[in-house]
Amino acid sequence: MKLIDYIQGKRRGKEANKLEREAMNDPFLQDAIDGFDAVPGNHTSAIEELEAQLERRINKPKPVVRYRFWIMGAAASLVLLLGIGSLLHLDTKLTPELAQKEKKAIIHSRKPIDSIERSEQPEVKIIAQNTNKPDRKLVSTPAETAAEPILEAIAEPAKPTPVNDIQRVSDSTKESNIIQGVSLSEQMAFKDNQTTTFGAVNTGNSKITLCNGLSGVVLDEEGKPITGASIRIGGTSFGTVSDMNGQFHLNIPQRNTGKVEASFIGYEKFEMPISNDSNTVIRLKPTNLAMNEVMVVGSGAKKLKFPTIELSEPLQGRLAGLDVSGSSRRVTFGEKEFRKYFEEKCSQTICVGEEGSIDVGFTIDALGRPTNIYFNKSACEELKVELTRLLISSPKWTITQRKVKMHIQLK
Amino acid sequence: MKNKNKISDLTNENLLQTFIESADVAYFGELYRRYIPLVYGLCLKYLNNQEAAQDAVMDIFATLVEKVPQYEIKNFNTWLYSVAKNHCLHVLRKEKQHSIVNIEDVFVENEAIFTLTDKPQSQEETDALAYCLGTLSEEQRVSINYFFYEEKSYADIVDLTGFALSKVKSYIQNGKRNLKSCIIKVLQLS
Repeated sequence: MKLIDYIQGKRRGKEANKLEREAMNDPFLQDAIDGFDAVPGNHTSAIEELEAQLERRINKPKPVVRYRFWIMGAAASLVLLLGIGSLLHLDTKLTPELAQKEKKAIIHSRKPIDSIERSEQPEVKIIAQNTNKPDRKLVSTPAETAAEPILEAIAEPAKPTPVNDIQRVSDSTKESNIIQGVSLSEQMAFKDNQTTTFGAVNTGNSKITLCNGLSGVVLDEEGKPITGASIRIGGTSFGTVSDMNGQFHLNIPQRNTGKVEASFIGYEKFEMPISNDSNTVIRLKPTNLAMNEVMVVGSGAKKLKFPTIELSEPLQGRLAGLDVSGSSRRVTFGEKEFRKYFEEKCSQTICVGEEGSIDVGFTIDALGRPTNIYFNKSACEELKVELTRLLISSPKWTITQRKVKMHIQLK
Repeated sequence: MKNKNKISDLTNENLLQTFIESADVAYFGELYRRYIPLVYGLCLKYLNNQEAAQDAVMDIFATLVEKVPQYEIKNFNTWLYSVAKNHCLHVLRKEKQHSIVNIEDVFVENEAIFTLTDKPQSQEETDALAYCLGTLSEEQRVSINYFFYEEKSYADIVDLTGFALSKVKSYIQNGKRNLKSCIIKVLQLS
């Protein structure tokens, strides 16, 4: 009988009993039966609905690869568009006084990002959208920004770098598995951010500040900064940790529309929509440490209490040597114990009137069972049979793989 | 879908193996479909709510599709059981609704159990069993007797005795535990 029949109401008779018994050895099945009994409702139709949902999901797998290519395509065209746009912009704004500086800027920004960072050129400021509000961490040279129109130098470098990236990414995605694909595409999206939308580069300071991000401070309920709080974009690997002063800066990839989550042990998780705010104050509330958490720990301890002994084993005559872990008692078994065992179990009526002693030798095998039983001194046959029977049915011997010789005297 | 008829003929082991080799979700989907009643029942037990349980069943599927290829699974049944159970407990923790889980219920069921109809081997074991049956409460003894010796289902016993279903279950459960400890005691003393 199958579980589904049981749920449908065929709960009577031997077949149902069989399933219920099976459940006793199968916690999965037992839990399921308990669940169907505990919650009222039409479970059969729920299961059918679930099967249909599953079917739909299998038949419509996510077009992972195409999706990725689409993103890359979009990213590439965005880069090109921005590039061309800023080129045009550049042309119109170019003034003779700036010509010299502009050349330098272009030359330097042709190089990869890190070389820009290291560059000693002062006063170069690369800017894209989103820079209307200066970032809190943005270190700028006020005189330059105020006096001159901002020099836009994004156009030239923007083209070659990302295009190369796209090439590389799409090549490698072909062979790489999904996970690598994801991280590569994220990387790419990130690079894309850097090259097209990063805010300000203060080359004198060798520091790049990403403007397209969220920064602020994490405080506790008393207004004290929380160090080490995690701030991340829900469902992604983009995240950061607040510093000693509770401050953080989180780069936000452009395509993200999820939520920003801030969390710290002992505090409730805080969620807010993604924004590019630079002065966010996140206040975390302490959690009411639930009693419930304690309960889960307790359950683990409880579980240990129940010795998991198969009772069918003791019933096969191994009980005396059983380690009953619940009562933390370990029973050893050896020559001394066997004598006692023999005295208790040996039939009182054997070998009456005959010489009641015997020498027995045997080997304890790896499992603690006596084997190769032999007798040296001939006594009455009954005693041999009885002794053999008791040796075979004795509990497991504690010390295994050895030879034993015993002299047994009938009382 | 390709090979649809063939897929439904495969054994659980084959489905799992083929999924791991081919990464074709159809194979794993068929395997999981067979487990839906079990997983759904399990989720019902822990989440105590039909909608939450249904969501959990689909969430677990999504998790598994990713997880399965990463693990070496020796026994899919037990593995799935622990993954599904952990998922439900995780959902509970998130929602802070632990109080609805009766811990006693949850873990008592997990004991390894013997069946009384495995005939005892020696006279003293039979005697021990008979003696211990006598020490049980009336309800436990009656329920155990019906369940193990007369092969009546829980529902049958409810009809025969008039006890509530949950009572019948706990009589059998507790009776069995009492019997077990009694038999161990008696046999060790003798």
